[in-house]
Amino acid sequence: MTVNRFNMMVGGAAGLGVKTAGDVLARLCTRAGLHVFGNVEYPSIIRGDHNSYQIVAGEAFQHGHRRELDLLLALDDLSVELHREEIRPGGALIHDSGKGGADLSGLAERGVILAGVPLASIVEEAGGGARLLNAAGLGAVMGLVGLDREALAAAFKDAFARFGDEILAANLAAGRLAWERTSGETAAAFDRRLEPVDAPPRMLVTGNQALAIGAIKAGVKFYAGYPMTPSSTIMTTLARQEREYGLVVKHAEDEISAVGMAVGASVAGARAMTATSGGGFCLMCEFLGLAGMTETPLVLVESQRPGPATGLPTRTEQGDLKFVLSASQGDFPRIVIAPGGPEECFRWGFEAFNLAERYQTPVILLLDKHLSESCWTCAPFATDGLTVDRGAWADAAAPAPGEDQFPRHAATDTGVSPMLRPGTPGATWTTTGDAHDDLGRISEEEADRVRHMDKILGKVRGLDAGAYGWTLHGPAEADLTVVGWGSTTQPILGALDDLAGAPVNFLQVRGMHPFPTGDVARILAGARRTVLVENNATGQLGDLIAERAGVRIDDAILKYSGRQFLVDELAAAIGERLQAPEGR
Amino acid sequence: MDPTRFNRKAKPTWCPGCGNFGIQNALKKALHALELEPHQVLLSTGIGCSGKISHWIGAYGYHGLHGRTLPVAIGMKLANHALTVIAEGGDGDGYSEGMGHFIHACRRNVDITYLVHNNGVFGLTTGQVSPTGDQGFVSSTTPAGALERPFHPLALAVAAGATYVARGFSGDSERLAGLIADAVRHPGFAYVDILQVCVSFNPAKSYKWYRERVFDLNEEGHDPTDRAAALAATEPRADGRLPTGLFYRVEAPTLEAGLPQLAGAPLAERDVAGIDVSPLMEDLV
Repeated sequence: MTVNRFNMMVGGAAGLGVKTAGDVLARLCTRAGLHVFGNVEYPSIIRGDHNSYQIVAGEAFQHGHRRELDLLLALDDLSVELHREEIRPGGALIHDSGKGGADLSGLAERGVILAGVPLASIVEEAGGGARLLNAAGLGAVMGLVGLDREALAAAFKDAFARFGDEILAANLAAGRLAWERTSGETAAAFDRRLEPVDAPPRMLVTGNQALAIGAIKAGVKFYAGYPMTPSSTIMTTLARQEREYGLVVKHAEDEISAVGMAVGASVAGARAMTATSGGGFCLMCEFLGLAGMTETPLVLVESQRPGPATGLPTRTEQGDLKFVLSASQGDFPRIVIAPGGPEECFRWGFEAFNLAERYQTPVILLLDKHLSESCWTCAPFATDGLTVDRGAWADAAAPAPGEDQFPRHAATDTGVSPMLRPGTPGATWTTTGDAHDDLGRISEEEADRVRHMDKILGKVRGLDAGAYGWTLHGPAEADLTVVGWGSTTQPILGALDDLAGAPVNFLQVRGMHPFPTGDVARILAGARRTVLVENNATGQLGDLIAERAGVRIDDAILKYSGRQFLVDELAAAIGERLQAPEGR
Repeated sequence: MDPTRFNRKAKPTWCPGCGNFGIQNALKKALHALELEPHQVLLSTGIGCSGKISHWIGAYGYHGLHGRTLPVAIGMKLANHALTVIAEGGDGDGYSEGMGHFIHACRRNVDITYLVHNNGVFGLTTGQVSPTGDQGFVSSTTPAGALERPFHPLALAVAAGATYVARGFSGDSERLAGLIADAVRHPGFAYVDILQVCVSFNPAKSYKWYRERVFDLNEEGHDPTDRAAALAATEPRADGRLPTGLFYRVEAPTLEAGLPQLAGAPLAERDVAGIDVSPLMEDLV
């Protein structure tokens, strides 16, 4: 009997409540003191097809998901068909025994426990309504993992009380009936148990939620966006806090308007932000350059999904790195950071605002669907040590000597000119997306152009990406160095845990621009063997490293099916390289 | 105090005789009449000859992108609702590239003013037909004459829910100043289309041509509270006369009125240090 280690999946058509059921189970495990990782897979449709929610739980931190399932809750026959081979011997399949449509052949022979529960008739008995199907499924899971009647009632109350007594009672009735079917003999045959352990309180948090909380902590006062998976939950999280935290969240008519409103709010002096995915970012590019040209602070989140075009709208990929680094015409400074987990999403969701104002230029946080929408358990984020730095502001509006306006782009040693909030009495300023002089007046003089370009491009040279732009995980010396970034950080760390003791380490690159060139070059020059791990088709970080650090990483593990690496899949691929002779 | 407090030392680069001078004068007069100080005004301007006006009005000015004055202005106003925010650009800027934003600004009703310099032609790119240019207009991109029909921006604005819809003429700076001042006073999205002469690329529509045709609708008894009458006034007239004045005005709640979080100091002025997010984290435990 193994206690408190689960790899479970809920599967069903869109509209059957897979997400709700998965959230309930993830929360149940979190409340039981376990660490949880949750991965949601769904197609870009509202009803039908197939959704799945995978929950990996254990007493140690869970970096990602794995193939071998301990438990599959199949809310429909298609889920059985798609995932039956993932159930390990000794694992269990909860399926609707009343309908009998699914092909179960060979499963019992493989040692899979067939936990047939008449889900449809239980739903009918409990008062009907397709909405109770997931509740019945939840009851069956709770019975199987050893929850008693009281624990079942408590878990349902936790999950459904907010919908009112009537809905709670109906869900609990369905849950109980299913629980009765699995809690006896079937549970006794199953080799996994959930037993609450003492643990400090932990959040179950997605990357987008973490980032939004970081932004609120930083004092974001204005957010405009246009719904686009997988960025949308940043907007919805902020929108729920609009009144409580005194910010305006505007759903704009398109992404051009969204970034334009954010630029306008920033020009007026408020901390402003927008978020989108690759397609929306395409539309935002012109404003990105305008913010760079006019030295306007801007925080922009690009949560990637597989392109080109609409691509796979609800899946994951790291395919926009090069695009984000070069988007918009001309040269201008941008700060691009790729967080590698929920804590980093929080931290950079906060710091991005400091950087944007300190350097008066766009800061882009690069996430993807996996990081944005998966959830992890984390201790509440530490907020001491987070300091708001609003950069250089003039408090008096004095005109430039001999001039009648405030020098918005005054020459300074750092290239950063004091900002002046519109509304400040005294001299006013103008600025423009045309080439301009120090006063912000249009100028086509060669000397002004060169001075301006040197000024804006020089600003971010003061930012030392070496200090924050990379982390070397694992031993300093290793036979194999894995190189990756962003959301693959977590499955790579999980794979390294699986390979505990093996001579392998992991260089996580976080600062994409400015790039930690010196450190990356040094680490790679000292590495015995290297392998790139990226969730894209061409190895974009590999190209960036070659361009910046002059080191070409020839071996690559790339996945571009629209799904994130599984921890075990990656551990196997890395393990293969550890065993292969040098120079394979 | 006099309108010269809105002057800039820098001199406009518009062509001699450009309609933009009349609009520039009218805007200064209007700001003066409103008893505003330069620091209370923030302009969001577009790309084209018209958009450069923010360089030559003594106020805070942000000269941004082609077609995107309105999103920027809306962001400005929501971030600092104490400011007078004016978006300004041309017909190419606002009716061609930025049309989508125009429609949504009309229905959004943020308390900003939108001035469109409408001369039926792209000036800065040296004379191509705009969405308000005449069908058959011969230009470098339409050598055989424009095939599309012009649209009437005021009809669109009324249909899209704008709460203040007016048209002025660059050659009548006094009357135009009155319309602009009225537009700024109006709580909500106030839009003034300005018939403007382009002496270089649309010389057929000269000051004389316009003066023979423009008239003040309100002097002829038009009721600006009558929506149907406002729409009717946008129909082409058999005699070719061009109505100006206040076409439509209605009191409606501004977008800001629905945002209680704006009560008190503007968002841009609020302290952002030490914000407590622990309740948000507790919600996730």
